[in-house]
Formats: sequence, C-alpha cells, structure tokens
Amino acid sequence: MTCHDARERFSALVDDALSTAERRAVDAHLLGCPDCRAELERLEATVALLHRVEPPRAPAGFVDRVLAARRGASWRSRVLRRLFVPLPVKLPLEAAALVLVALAAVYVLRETPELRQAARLEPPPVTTPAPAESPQATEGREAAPGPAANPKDAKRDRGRPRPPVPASKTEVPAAPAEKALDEVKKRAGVGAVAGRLDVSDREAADRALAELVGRLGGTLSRRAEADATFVEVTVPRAAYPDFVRELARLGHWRAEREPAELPEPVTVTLRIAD
Amino acid sequence: MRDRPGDDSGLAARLRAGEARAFEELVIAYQHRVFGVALRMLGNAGEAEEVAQEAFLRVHRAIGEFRGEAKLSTWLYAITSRLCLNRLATGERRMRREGEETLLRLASAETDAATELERGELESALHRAIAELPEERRIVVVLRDLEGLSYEEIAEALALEPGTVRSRLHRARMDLKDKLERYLP
Repeated sequence: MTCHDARERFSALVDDALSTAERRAVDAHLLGCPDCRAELERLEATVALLHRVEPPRAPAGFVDRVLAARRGASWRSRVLRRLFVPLPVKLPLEAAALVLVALAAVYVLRETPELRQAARLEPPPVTTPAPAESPQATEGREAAPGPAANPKDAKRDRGRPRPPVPASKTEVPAAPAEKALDEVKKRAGVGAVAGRLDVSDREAADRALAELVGRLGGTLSRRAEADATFVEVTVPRAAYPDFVRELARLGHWRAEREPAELPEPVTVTLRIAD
Repeated sequence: MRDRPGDDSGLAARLRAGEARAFEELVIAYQHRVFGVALRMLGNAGEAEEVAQEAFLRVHRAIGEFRGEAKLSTWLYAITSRLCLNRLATGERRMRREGEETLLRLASAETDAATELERGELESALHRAIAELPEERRIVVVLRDLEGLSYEEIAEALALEPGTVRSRLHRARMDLKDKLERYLP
C-alpha cells in the first residue's frame, strides 16, 4: 500500500470504519512508515480538538416560538382537512354539490324572466382609445366631430355620419387573493421585502408590530382596509433578523419576496390579515 | 461532541398519533442540536433560528410520511441539513457579504484581543476553520464530529453513498488539520 492510499483511509481508521482487510493493510504500512504515523497522529489530534468544541445552544424562548408557529399553521391545516379529507368521500360529495348548485342556477335563470332580462344586458362600455384608421378608410369621409365650439357648429355636425367606435375589450378581474398579493408586491419598492402575516387578531398584531418596530429603531406606516392592513416598515439591516424572528411570534409570517442582498435600511411591506 | 439521544421510536409513534405533548417534547429534546447544525452551516443566529424553526414545523407537517425505517433524529437532521444547504445555495451572495462579519462573530464575540483571549484562541480558530470549509464538507464534519452521527446515518440524512461521506469527511478533516496545524501537539 502506498502512502497516498494509506492516508486516504486515515479518517475512516480513526472512526473504526475500515473493513478488516483495509485495516490490516493500513496497519502494515504504518509499521514501516514513520511519516505516515506522524500524519495519522496529527489527524487524530485534529479530530480530538473537534470533539472538544462547545456545542451552541438554541436562544431563549425558541421552544415557545416554534410552538406558536405550529399553532398558526395548525388551524389552517385543520380547516383544509375538514373541507377535503377524507378525499375519496368528501371530494366526490363536494363535486356533486357543485354540479347541483350549477343546475339549480340554470333552472332558476330559465324560469325567472327578470333574471333572464338582467343576464342579457351588456356590460358598461370601457373607454379605450380608437385605433388609427387606414388612409383608405378615411378617404371620402369627414373627420369625427369633436365637441362643438358654438351652437351653429353643433347643428351642422348633427347631420354628419360618425366614425364607428371600436368594440371594447372586456377586462377579466383578477382573483381576490392574487390581487392582494400583487398589491403587496406592487407597494413594495425594488429591493424591499414583501410578504404576508396571518394573525388571529389583526388589531393586537398591529399594536405589537408598532411596539416591535419602535423597539428596533425603525419606522412604520399603515393603511387599514376591510379585510387586511397594509403596513410598510423600515428597520436597520442589522435588526432585520430580530424583526423576522419576532414576526413569527405574532403569527404566521411568509416572505413572498426577499432580495438576496438586503439594502440599508430594510423596507418590509406586510399584508396583515386575519 | 454531543451525547447521542436515546431511542426515539416511542416519540415518533406518539407524534404520528397526534399526541399534543409529543411535539413539544421533540422540540425541547432537539432544539440545541437542530439550532447548532443550522448555526454552523449558516453562520448567522437569526437565519439559524428561522431554519431550525422551519425544520421542526416540517417534521410536524410530514410526520404521517415518516415510516420509522430510520431514526427520528436522523430524519430531523436530514430536514435541517437540506434546509441549510438550500438556503446557502440560493442566498450565497448574502452569506458572502455577511459571512466575514458573521464568521468573526461566531469565532469571537468581539474583535479585540482581550475578548479573543477570553474565549480561547483555540476555540475561535476551530469555529473559524469549520466556518471556512466548503458547505458540502462542512455539513459532513458537523454531523460526524460535532453531532456524533455514524457514517450510515450521515449517508441517509444527506442521501449520499457511504463512500462519498467517507471521502468528504476525510477531505474536511485534512482541511481542518492544515488550518489548525499550529495548535496540534
């Protein structure tokens, strides 16, 4: 066995993790190689040093914070379980319920004249700029009349044909949850952290957050809406880890956007919801 | 190196059964180990606590999938290691910017000579040497030499072949030996 092959096995030798055959071969090499014996002793001393390293301890209150975070996550999973589990039973039942509701809606719509009439009404037109007309289209046609400068012009304009108004595109509204998330991200500037904080008591969380930010030497501005509060917090970068840790005590914090390099100070945009 | 915990198969069964106290016992029993692995890997106490908390929450969410073929502690170490390595992989730039500052903080509470002496120059050098290892070697030496896992447990936790564990551990120890040469007899 060469010195290189023997030394490649030193770590496993120290851990008594060599096979019998390997162990025999390494021992035989060591008998005749003082350099390798010295190298093995240095490796053993290194491992002995590592085993003396003082192990770190979790910070005070860690257990409480983990349990609080678990409680925040638990109620959501309980709700989901109640809605969808057991899957083979609840999913078909819920699908059947949806179909029944849809059929009932169609039946009611057909049998109620007022609802039919309402369903036929066009949605209000959305103003979009008219597309530029081609030269051929405008040939032989007069320009579209604008607001008349005086009554005589208005009288004259009444007789003239108006150019067609292009059909408006119907806007598809975003789902409320996506809208809220987009709102948070939109409010957060470039380089800012954005996320949501789900709490059981929005007002209490709001107060606790204000106190936390004050304690960390940051600033806070908020805007309350019906179903959520949007808060913009600025904290020194050094205080950001403490801020995030304390957020976890207030509820379930989920960062939706967190830049790899944090600026100084750090701006955090939160959506606090019950 | 930490003392290895006793048999935790009973705790795993109680966790699967949804016993309320079982999760709290798990966190109390393993908080320092999980936090310690995260701190050694990430070098930042705030991030280490986030990752440690997430590791316990993942165990709570996924305990139904735990078959009991491995030890509960090995599974917990596996989740913690994966979270640390993922965070390092995605947040490498932030780690480098804060890394130097944090390595020094880990190695020594202050940078002045008096505090260095107080903490022990050797301990500081050990912390620094471990923190400077490439993460794939650092995780192996943390699990083996600081947490006391066997080669097989490390292989299972990191989804590696035992031979790969052996070679990475050897490389890591050789790196540390070179860095700590002046402290060796």
